[in-house]
Amino acid sequence: MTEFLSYSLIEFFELLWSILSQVFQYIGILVVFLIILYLVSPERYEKIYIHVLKVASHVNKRLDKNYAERDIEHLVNSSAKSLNKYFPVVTRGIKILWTESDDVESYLNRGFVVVRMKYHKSRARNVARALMAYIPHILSPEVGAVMETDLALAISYVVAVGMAEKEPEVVRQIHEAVSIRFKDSLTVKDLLPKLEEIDEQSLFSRILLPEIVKACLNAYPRRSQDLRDEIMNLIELLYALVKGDLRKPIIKGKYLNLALIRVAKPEKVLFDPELEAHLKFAEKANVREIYVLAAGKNAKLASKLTARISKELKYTIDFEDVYRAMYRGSLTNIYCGKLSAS
Amino acid sequence: MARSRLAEHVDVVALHDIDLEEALHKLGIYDEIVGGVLSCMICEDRVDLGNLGALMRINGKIRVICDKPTCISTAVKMSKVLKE
Repeated sequence: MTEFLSYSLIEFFELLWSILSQVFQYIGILVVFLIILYLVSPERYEKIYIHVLKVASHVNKRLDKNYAERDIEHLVNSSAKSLNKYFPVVTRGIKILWTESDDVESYLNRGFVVVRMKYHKSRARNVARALMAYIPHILSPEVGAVMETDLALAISYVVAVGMAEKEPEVVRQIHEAVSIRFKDSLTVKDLLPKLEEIDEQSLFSRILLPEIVKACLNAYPRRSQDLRDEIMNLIELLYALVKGDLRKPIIKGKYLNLALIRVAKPEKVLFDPELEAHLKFAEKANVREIYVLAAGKNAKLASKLTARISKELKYTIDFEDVYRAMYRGSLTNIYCGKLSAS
Repeated sequence: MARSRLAEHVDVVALHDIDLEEALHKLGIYDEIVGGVLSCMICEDRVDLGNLGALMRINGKIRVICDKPTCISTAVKMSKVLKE
């Protein structure tokens, strides 16, 4: 009997050891995988980490703070980073600072608004609250100082909607705030749909926002009517472009100095495959910045034009992007290239 | 960690539900909030534990803001102006 017991005990430990070594082997593989992921794709690593935190926060409520903080910061900061790709100081990131009973008073005394965050079941509400607190500060203080308040806020709202585009509930809450905030402002009411349509073709982040920020930084610290007019002019210009009704694609102002060149349809450039007419237009425009744009199959031609402008008119290519966006009601490849006078 | 870091960021001060009760006690407004006797600084709706959205201090007095996005947004704008 004793012999049988000790035999089955040995067998049990052997079995346990084999299970444990298997488990450790898998953990080892997982750790190596996470280290590689962290090094190769920090963005994906962060997403996985946030999901793990979300699950863990069901077990430990304290982790819910950690989860909310990482989740909100990731959502905002990754978008802010991609916006800053087109101009370095377009927008700022977000940092969640947790306060507790010990220091809440000190934050309130320093003039902060303390925003309440609920458990993760109210994730959309938490994200929306954080964004509401973030929106008035999205644009740098220099931009806020020279830009008309309502216009700056309208632009900030569009940036925030872009950040939360995959979160319908957050977008709904932002829209609700917008509709109340601007219920008496006819100018902004008219402007917001235009900004949103410009954003649908991703021209908001690539052209409008960087140009506005740059113009405001040039104008700082003076708030001038010229600046406002030129910004409004650019918005109208981009809106006309989005609507396919672009007539005078040049702004030669004090703060904005640019031309938009849209590559014509293939059938229209059949007899001008080298795009001489477009090149001549770029030369005549004689502006600081040129944006070359095309939709669908024209991307290759547009890239060719960008290269020619760069080589023959001595412009520097700042960026060339081909991306999918809505164009005349369908998802299409859009080309956007930017050149600056050397 | 792999968090997206930007050179400049906006600080958003947050109070989690885990610490809410204790913080409200410390500020001396817990009973008023639970009793629903306070009203939103912006829209003047009654504010209780269910719809408390934010807190702010103006002229030494603690003000409460309800959880409507527009009220929180307006309060933050106000605090920005006051700080400037």
